[in-house]
Amino acid sequence: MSARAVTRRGFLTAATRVRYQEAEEVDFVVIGSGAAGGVMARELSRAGHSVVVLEQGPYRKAEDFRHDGYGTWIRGDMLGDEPVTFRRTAGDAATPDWINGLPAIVYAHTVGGASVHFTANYWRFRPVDFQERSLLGPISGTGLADWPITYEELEPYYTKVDWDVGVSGAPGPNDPPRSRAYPHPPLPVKSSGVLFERGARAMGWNPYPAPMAILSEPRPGRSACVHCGYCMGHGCEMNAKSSTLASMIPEAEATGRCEIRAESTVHRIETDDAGRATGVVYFDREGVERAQRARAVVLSANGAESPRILLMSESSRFPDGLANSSGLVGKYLMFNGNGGVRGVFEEPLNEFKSVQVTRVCTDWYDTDPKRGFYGGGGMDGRCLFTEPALFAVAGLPPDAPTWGIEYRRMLAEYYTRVMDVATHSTSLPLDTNTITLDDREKDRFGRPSVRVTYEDHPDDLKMVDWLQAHAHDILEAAGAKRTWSQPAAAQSNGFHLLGTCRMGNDPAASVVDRWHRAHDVPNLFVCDGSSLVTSGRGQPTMTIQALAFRAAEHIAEAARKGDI
Amino acid sequence: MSHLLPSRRAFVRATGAGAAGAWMLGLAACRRAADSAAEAVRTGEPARVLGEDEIRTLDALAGRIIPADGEAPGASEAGAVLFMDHYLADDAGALDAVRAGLAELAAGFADLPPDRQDQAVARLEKEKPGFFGLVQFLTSVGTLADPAHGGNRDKVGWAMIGFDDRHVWQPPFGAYDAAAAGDEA
Repeated sequence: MSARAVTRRGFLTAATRVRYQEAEEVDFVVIGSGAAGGVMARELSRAGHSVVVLEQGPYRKAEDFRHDGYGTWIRGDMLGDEPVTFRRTAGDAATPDWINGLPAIVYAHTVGGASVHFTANYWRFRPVDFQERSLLGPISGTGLADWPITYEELEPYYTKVDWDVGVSGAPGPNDPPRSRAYPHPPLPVKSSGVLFERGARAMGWNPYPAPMAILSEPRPGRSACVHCGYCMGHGCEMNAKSSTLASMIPEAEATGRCEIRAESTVHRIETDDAGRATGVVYFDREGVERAQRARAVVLSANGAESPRILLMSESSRFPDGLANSSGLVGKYLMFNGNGGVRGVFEEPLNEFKSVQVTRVCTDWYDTDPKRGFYGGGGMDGRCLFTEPALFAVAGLPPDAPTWGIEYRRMLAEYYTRVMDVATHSTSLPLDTNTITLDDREKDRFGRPSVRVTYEDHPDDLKMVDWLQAHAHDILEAAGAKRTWSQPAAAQSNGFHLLGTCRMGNDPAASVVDRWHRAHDVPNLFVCDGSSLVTSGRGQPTMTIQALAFRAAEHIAEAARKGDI
Repeated sequence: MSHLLPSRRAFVRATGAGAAGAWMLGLAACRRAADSAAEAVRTGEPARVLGEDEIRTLDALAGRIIPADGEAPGASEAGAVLFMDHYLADDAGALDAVRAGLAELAAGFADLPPDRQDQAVARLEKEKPGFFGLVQFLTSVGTLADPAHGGNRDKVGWAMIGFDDRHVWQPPFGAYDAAAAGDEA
């Protein structure tokens, strides 16, 4: 390999970036460059392996991101173009029509995936999340199960996420045990955080600084947050938001062993007569079919795309899809519960500045059987609709005037004075909530489209309503002049895509084992949101990345021992 | 999921009756519209698809949906109709819907005095909610999106609502965190 030309920031220049031949059998193909794939790429290449990352989206970088709220929120610039179909239940017809103005599954097609545009809320799961079946007993009609691992086993990897990916925060009152402090102090509090804290304390609850994967101070090669306000939904031009694009991908490429092959849309994982994965077939930017050979495959395409790829990889040996002897590939899809209440205050908050969230409260985390339903959650102080055009469309109360001088004056009064208390909670795993292949729609490559089948369990909706009542209380206690919200309703759009290739010790009841190795295919690993056994209380990204760090460490060790 | 989902669904709710949801934003049209709008702003070229009368009428409608307030500019002064022209040039379905709605609007709407125009708009919202919702959406977005997309001339829409596109800030950000910091000082 030629001598490296190192830029001022210590990264390889494009000219010396490694490029592998497709016919060359690399050690690992990683499918997906998002929260999990980015971690896998960095860890496996740093462990000495040759890695090709196949990412369907283009390779946008910090310098490509624009402060264009209309482009992001109304035009959906980074979302894919392909049809996704949705139906409430298997008895309904699935349609490709966007519902609520968005596709059924929402994530950017770009290197870094959804980690580029996420809100960056980084909550750890807690011990209870891993063992709720044991604690509560089974819930009939659901797939509630214990994880094959405990919080204690995952804790060192949560800490690795804190320090290697970059998380800013401070200890909170209900924190699970942690082996190291946060690497960076919390981001400065916003008016929404001050008011949330004031209201929560007045109600007797215990708010604390939000753990955010956004740098409050610089790190080598990355700037601190400059509070520009173009945060949630946008890529960060400062590399302050800890997407894998900012934190993991450059370090992977700097090893000289990792190739990020963007605009590569995976069609199938190929297997041989022995049932081992041999490589990955994909479409390049021009739509030409190509195949990269590899000794092992890591599938980290997210909780919708990973089961889709496994189902598309069916063969005579795997007639129900690759790695699907359990029949669970694509099942137990969970979106988390997502709710909130909006309020308007006397003075300007100016929430269009800085990050989304600076204060959270998780006093309602555990399931309390006395409530009469399963579920737990937390909430935060923020403001969702800071993009001016989107605020006009979505931010005002439902009874607001829609035109005229009153409409204009309400826009002018409310825009700087509004905040939200957003609620985040559990989804029960149901085998009727699924990702399957649509039998009619296809994308531009001819691949069957994703079909989403989703109906929240009644307990999921009760939890949202229960939390929203408390969110009202917080805003009123904080002095809101007025609050408004909608009752919890069945969801038709998923930002969190969880559960569809769940982990477990029993091959009849799970897709991958406790190390993310597919039960059916010894050199195939699946690690992303699909791995989660239960949904947690919202904010799954940190757990996805902890799982990826842990899986990568094991995979590298297994490779060293010749055990793949 | 609550109304807090940051999405275009709020458009359906905000523009009343849900009938506006009968048409969908054309993503590809939006992308092309924004690029071409930016280009038109730079080159000062004429309208792409709307005729002169259509421009006058839509501009007049926009001027009642987000009117000027005394000296403070509204949607007409902001040039929201330029955003509309570029958007509709790339979305044949929406253009047809707009033209059908304009055809049913009383002739000479643009020349009516404001209070008569307001009566017509009130009727429109009740009787033609799909057309009204589309024009209301295009007016709002055309007034408040980045000026590169054709409207919000000289950022007057942003000035209307108190948005500042400085893009780099330091705390304190708003009144309540400023006061809290003052309390701690």
